[in-house]
Amino acid sequence: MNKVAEVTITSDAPGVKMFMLGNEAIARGAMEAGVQVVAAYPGTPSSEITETLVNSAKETGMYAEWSVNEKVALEVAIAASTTGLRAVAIMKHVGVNVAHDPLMSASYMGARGGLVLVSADDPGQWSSQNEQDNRYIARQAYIPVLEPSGAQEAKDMMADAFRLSEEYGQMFMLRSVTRIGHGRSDVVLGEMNGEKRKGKFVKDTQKLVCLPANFRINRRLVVQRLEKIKEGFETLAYNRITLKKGAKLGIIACGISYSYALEAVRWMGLEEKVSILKIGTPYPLPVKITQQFLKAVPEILFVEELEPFVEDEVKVIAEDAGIVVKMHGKEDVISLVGELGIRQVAEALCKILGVKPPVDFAALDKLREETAALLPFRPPTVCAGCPHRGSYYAINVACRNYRKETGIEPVLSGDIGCNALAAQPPLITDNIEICMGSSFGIANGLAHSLDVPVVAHLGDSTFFHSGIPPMLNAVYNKANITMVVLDNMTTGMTGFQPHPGAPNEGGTPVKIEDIARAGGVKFVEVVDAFDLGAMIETLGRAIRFEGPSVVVARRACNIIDQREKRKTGAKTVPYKVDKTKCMAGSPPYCQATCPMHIDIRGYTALIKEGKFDEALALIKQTLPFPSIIGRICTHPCEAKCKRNEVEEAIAINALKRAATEYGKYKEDFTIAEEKHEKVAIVGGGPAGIMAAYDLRKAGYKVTIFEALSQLGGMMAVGIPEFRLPRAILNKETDIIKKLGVEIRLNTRVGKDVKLADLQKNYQAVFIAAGAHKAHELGIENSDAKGVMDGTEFLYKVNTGEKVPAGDKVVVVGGGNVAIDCARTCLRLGFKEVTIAYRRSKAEMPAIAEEINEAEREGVKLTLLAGPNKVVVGKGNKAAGLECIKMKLGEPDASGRRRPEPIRDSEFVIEAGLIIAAVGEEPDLAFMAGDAAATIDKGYLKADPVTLATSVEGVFAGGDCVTGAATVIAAMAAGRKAAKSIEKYFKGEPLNVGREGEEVYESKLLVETYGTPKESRAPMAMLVPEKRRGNFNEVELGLSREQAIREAKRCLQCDCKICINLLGCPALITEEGKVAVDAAGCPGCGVCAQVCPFEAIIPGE
Amino acid sequence: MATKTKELNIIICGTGGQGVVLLSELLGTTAVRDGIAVKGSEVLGMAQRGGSVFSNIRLGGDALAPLTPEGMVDVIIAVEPSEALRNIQYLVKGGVVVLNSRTVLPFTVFLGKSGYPSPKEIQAGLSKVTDKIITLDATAIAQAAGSLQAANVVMLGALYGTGLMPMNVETAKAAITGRFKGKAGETNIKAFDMGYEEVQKALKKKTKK
Repeated sequence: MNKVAEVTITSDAPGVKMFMLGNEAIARGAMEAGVQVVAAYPGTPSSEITETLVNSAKETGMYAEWSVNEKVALEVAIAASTTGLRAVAIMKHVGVNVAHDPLMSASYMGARGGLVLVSADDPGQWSSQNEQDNRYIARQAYIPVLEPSGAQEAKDMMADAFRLSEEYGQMFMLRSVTRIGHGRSDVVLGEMNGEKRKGKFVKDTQKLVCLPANFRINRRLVVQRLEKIKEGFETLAYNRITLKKGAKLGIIACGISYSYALEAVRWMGLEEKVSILKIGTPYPLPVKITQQFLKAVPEILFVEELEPFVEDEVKVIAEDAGIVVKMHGKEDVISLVGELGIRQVAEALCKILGVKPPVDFAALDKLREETAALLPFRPPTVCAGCPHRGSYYAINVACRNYRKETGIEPVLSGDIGCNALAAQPPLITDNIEICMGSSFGIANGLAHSLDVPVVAHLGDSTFFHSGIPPMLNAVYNKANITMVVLDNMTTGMTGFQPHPGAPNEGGTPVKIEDIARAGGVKFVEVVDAFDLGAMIETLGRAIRFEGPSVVVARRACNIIDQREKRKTGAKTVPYKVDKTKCMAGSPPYCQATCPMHIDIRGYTALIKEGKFDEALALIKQTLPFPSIIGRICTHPCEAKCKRNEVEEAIAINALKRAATEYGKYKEDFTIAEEKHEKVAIVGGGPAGIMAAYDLRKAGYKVTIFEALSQLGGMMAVGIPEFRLPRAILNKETDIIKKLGVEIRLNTRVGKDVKLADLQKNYQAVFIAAGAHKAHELGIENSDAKGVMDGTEFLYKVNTGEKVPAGDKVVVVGGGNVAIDCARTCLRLGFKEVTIAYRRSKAEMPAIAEEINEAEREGVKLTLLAGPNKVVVGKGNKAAGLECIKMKLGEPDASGRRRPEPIRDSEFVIEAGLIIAAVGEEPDLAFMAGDAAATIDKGYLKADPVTLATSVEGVFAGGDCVTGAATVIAAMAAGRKAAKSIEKYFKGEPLNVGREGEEVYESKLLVETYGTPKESRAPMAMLVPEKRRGNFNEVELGLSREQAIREAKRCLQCDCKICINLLGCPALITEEGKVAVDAAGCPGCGVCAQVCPFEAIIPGE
Repeated sequence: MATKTKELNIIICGTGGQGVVLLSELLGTTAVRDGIAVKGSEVLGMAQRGGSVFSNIRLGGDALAPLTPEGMVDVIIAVEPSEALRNIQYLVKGGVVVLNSRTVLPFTVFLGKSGYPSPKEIQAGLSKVTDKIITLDATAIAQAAGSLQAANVVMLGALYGTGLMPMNVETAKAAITGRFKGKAGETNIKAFDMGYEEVQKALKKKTKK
């Protein structure tokens, strides 16, 4: 082990090796040179240089300050140099832009004490807004540039820069890049220059007073100085040639690129074939050594970070000297964009030499690409506990409130540093951002160009850096803008450097609000960034205030706060989630209203991913008959879809059908352990088959007694085939047969078998007989020939029986049966099909899409037409329907407006066939014996929760209880009955554990405001001309791609309000609920204020 | 005098706040003390705010540049498992990967804007390049050692446990105690030892097979 343990960065220990960050090495170089004045503004990748110097200032006796901005920093250093002290100004590349003004003229002034500007360029833009190459600024200002190839040389050059600056009497630039400053290396320390100078101001008007007359002379002098420097650089060891005998290729490498060039050459085994010119002084470029190299090799590759700076200089030198060399660089083999590395040089060599790369880069890129798809996206975001999160949220809410009230959307102007993180979702409060302080300046311009409010925000350090002038400008030039200063009392992004407003030893921090008031801002308020209510309210007033307003959102940076807490031992109390109150994962609107409570959000999410198999499997968990339901459901879910607030509901039902069409599913016919109990089910409609499915799955022996010749009830004999192809119906009803349910067709209970026998022979009976008996039309002559009811008509058509034919038919009614009858008539060849309905179209209970299709097919709607009597012709044959015109009055018990006849407005619709589709009721003649007691006003009476009737062991559900309703509601009743019957067999109380079975209201609070509009996928349809004379299915379904696109429209309604609006890294999800990551939560409580359900509470 | 050892390129990766940079500092200091040449660099971006962190350490040989090119890294130490996958293109064929199995999910996952690979997918991705994958629950080990924060030092111990390191274990421990005083020093030495043992055990099992 070498003896290094005691050595620190300030030790005078020449020859000792230390492991250092490049920026520390640069700082050490300045210390070795005996720097006495240091001034800087923080900025990545430069900050650690100044950090190191500031931390060493006391020990080494130098003066080191964090300046208010880069311009001031450079001026501080320039001034120190004029007094004979060695001084350095340190900044990131874009910081030099801020210091550009003094830079240009101070260069003419020359230097007395060694004066160095450190510019930290950022190839690759790791933490910067551009990739500017500050060697150009140096050349423009006649400032010589030293550019190191590694940390060791960075230290050495930094120390040398002061010596050279004094030798030539000129300011020097050390050009660092990210990979130098943030590189690490063993560095051999040099000697510390212990000299302590005393500054002395020597009056020299010619040199120091920047008047045109003086500086015309100074300009001549700086040009002469540069000529000398160029000459001197010829022999500087930072520039050197390594010649290889017979080499056909030379590399000119500047700065860090020299290390890339050396390694690439070695990697490719070209050490003896490539000569290298190392450049350490890109400006001014020494001519002789360059010419010598140009003459030694016929072909040259340039490698340097960012612009082709050396490349262009060398081209001029070659041209001037008439040397013809083939040159490669940024124009052909090396990218102008991004950071270089060994690979980039190796690839350039491959291109020039036509050889294979040392490793298969293309394969590695492919590997990276393949992997990238799997990787989590980790953008930087403001920390958990950052006060800015509260501010951004409040700005968003205040602007949204304003937009809701006025329809006008404010523009948000953002800034640099932690504030740049506000550009990421979900905290997007940054519509435009350029540079330090630009948020306020840009806001000034927007205010004079737009008629909308402008809200600009920047940090406290930036406010002092460059936010004050644009604030004053807003006052002076009357820009109506809201300026928010997010005051976390430090310079957060770059590592917590102090600034004039931050707490400092012995001084009084400058208050931003005082400056604003002194500057003439009439609206100045200070709020706590964690008090969201106060923030939103204050911002609301500020936005509406006429004239410039300033809101200071004050709260210490969380990282500083945590450090303080650790020092004082104060406890951090993380928040926690009351899972009983957290609404995350609770059923969305569609699922709550679906009688079967199908996981719609779940299956749309899967379809969105193209996972149709998984989507179908998920649907099948709840619904065994999705192909049927996916066609004929009345989809009450779509009426509740939140997307209706944006434009139109998601095509939920069509997506279900798409899942059945593109998803593969292997039916599971396994059943639970066989049980001895037997269940009789009266009726093989949707309620009956659903109950049979569930009970059989549970292991019970089930027999269905069906009066008709086929299973399906109304699905088979009511709904026409053009809406539900029989093959689809049969395929899914077959499932229960394959499960082992006994099916007795053509067995009418009450006629072929007595109900009492079922009660005797089965341990439970479920009556699901439906509602097949039509309501009577109840008008004069309704017993005429040619008058029939809708269910009878559809039954006959569906079972192949003959129905009356003719030219004209009128259907009375506005429900689905009426529409189905009318559309069926058209297919049977009727020429004129009229629907007479006594209310308006809006009140028609039929599915809207079906009404539209009926009209498209040619059905004529005669609305507000109340049937009066059947007009009879010869032989009591119907000849038409006399109606009376109606108007709509007050709403009736159903909530629909009551139709009222208009006197003397009778008219006749000619028709040989009149179909009455005015409602259905159950036919309960079979309910004999004690079971008759369960009949109440024509319907069966069953407990709404358990479906138990007053008779022991007898349950009833579906249309025979509710009156004609929907297939999905009937299936839900079947499921409910099955559950009750199982409980009945097990001797469990029937009404326990029945929560959530009914249709209910979702408790979610989903905000759709601002959701971009996207139109609903249209269902492909058979063209109306092709629908006559056949019963082919009309709806053709969505294509696979349409379904995926449609599923993407789903808002995936859920409650993650806290996560979705704040994106706090400490908010996570666990088993579908929100949770707080206690290790990451500093307890700011912002999320608790955002949760509308008070589910987030302080932990113990 | 520096001892010339074979070049060994290491990537340490994880997420902001996991102590990746500290590991490279400890490695570098140890290397200097043992007279082994060292270069390196961090790729941070704005990592302090939750992003991915990647640190490259290059030991011995003639390494000059701060970063190793793709396909040339000998060892990847991942304090967060998906981050190993993120850097897989750097690994040389048949290189060594040491993984902390404990995941850190970014907020984008909870926002539903990003996925996260399953352990199987991570293994499958890594095994496109190497079958030398050692997985340990460094976070649990750190907790057992006395501090959740020490998962990075567990991983450092694991790195030494591979037997690939040219530096002495004792020097490594001296660097740790130089950095952490008192109780924290003890905890971290314990974390280091437990990480070391864990990998040694895993390697023995593999050779037995």
